[in-house]
Amino acid sequence: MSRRRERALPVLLVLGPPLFGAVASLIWWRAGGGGPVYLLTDLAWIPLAAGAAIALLAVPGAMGWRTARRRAERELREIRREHTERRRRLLSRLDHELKNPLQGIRAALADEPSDRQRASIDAQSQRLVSLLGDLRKIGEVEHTALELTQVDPSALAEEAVAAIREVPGAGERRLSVALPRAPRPLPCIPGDEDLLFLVLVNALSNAVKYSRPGDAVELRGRAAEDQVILEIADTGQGIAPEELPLVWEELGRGSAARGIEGSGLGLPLLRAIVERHGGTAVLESWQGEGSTLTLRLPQSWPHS
Amino acid sequence: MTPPTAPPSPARPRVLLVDDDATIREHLPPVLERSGLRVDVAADGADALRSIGRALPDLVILDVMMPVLDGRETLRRIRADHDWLPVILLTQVGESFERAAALDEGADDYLNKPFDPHELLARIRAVLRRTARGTAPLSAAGALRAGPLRIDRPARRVVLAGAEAPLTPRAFALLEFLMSHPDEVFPRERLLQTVWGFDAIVTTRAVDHRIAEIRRVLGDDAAAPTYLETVPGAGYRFVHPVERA
Repeated sequence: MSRRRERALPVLLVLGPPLFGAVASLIWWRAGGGGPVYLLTDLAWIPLAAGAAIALLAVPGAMGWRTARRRAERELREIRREHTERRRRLLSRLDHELKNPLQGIRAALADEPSDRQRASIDAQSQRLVSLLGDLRKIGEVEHTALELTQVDPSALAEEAVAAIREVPGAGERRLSVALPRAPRPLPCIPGDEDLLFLVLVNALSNAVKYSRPGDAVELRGRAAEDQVILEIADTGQGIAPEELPLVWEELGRGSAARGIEGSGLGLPLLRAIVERHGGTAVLESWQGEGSTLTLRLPQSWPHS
Repeated sequence: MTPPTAPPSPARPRVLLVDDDATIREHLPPVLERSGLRVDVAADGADALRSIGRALPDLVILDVMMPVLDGRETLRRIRADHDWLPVILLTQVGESFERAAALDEGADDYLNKPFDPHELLARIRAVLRRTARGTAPLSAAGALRAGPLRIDRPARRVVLAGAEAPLTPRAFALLEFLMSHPDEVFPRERLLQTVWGFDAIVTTRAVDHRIAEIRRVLGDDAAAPTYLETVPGAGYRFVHPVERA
C-alpha cells in the first residue's frame, strides 16, 4: 500500500499542476476570457526564459530517474536477502548431511576394534565421499567448458528414453515419447550433447523414481518460435506446493522424497546445465497427481 | 581396474609421497609399504625437490595444493630436470581444470582426492609397469606418432597421412589419453573421469560416441582396428605402437 502511494506521488506532483492549469484556462476561455495580455520585455531575457522552461521540463525526467533508481536498489536488496537466505539454508543442510556420517564414524571409533567397526567407518566415509562428489558435480557443470555442436533433440530424447528403460523399475512404468514429425521434426539446437543427454536422463530418472509401478511417464517435444520445448511428465506422487521451491536448491528435498534414495542435487544440476545453455527449467507439480518438468532451450544463441 | 602384478624389478621400487597433510603422510606409507614399495615422504614441493636431489625415486606422488611450492610448480621443475621420472598428481575436489592441466603438464596420471588407497596402488603399479619397459615415457612428449597418425599436443592438432583430421576437443583429449598410454585397456568410467571429469554423471554413452567420432575421422575399422580397439567387457585400448615425434 505504502509502496503504491510512493509511486503515485511523483506522478501527481508532475501532472497535477499543468492539468489543473489547463482545466482552469479552459473554463475561463469558455466563459468569455479576460482579454489579451501583452508582455513587453528586453530580448536579452530570452535565454533566461528558455533556461527556466528547460528546467521545468526536466523535472519529470529527474523524478522518474530517482524513483527508478530507488526501485532498483530495493530489488537488489531483495535479491541479496534471498541469496543470504539460500546460503543459510544450504549451510544448515550441509551441516545436517555431514553430521550424521561423522557421528557414525566417531561412534564406531569408540566401539571395540572389530571388523564390524571397520565396516561402519568405511561405510560412513563412503557417504561423505559421495556427498562431496555430488557437490563437486554442480561446480563442474557450472564451470566446465561447453563443447557446442548442433544437437538433434529428437535423437537425443529417443536415446535418453532407451537408456532409461534399463533403469530398475522403468519396466513397470508406461513410458512414452511424443516428438513431432509432421510437418517437420524438432530443429537442432546448439549445445553440449553430453550435458544435454545428462539433463534428459536425469529428468526421466526422476520421473521413474518418484512414481509408482503402472504410472505413466511421458517425454514430449515441440518447437515454439525460437525455442525447443521438452516436457517430461509423470503421474507420480508429485510435490506439495509449499515444497516446490525447495527442490531447486542444493541438497533440498521434499519431505515425501526422504524415503527414496537421492542426493537432492539432480534438479539443481539439471537447471545449471539448462541455464548454461541459455534456457530455463520449470517444474509444475500437483500433489498426488504428478509433475511436469518443462525445459526450454533456445534454437540459437545470441552470442554464437 | 588393471590386475595387480608383482613389482617390475626385484628391488622394491622407491616412491616419494609429497603431501602437506600430516595424517596422509602418517597413514598412506604403511599401506604402500605393505604392497612392496619403499616410501619416502616430503611435506611440500621444496622439500620434495631436495629429496629428489639427494636420491632419485622411481615415482613421485604429488599433492597439488601445498604451501611453499605447490604441486604444479613442483611438477614443472621436476620435468625441467627429469624427463623420465614418473609423477602421479593428487588433485583437489572442485578443481576440474586441474585434470586437463595435470595431463598437459606432463603428469603420468592423476587421482582426485578423496581417493581409495587401493586405487592409488593400482595407478602406481600401472605407471611403474609403463616405465619398466625402458622406453621414454610418452606423458611429457609434445607430439606423438603412431604410423601415419601424428598428434601435436600443445596445438591440439591431429594429422593423418599429412592431412589435418579435425576432432572435437573431447575426442582429441580421449585420443590423446589413449595414445599416450598405448596397449593399456581403460574402462569407460576411467576415461570419463579423465577426459570429461564428471565422474559418473555423464553416462558411458559419451565415451562410445567420441570413440565412434575418432574412428570415423581416422577411418579406423572397429572390427579390424589399426588404432582403437574395443575390448569387450573391459573398455578401449590404443593398439598401434606409439613413439615420441
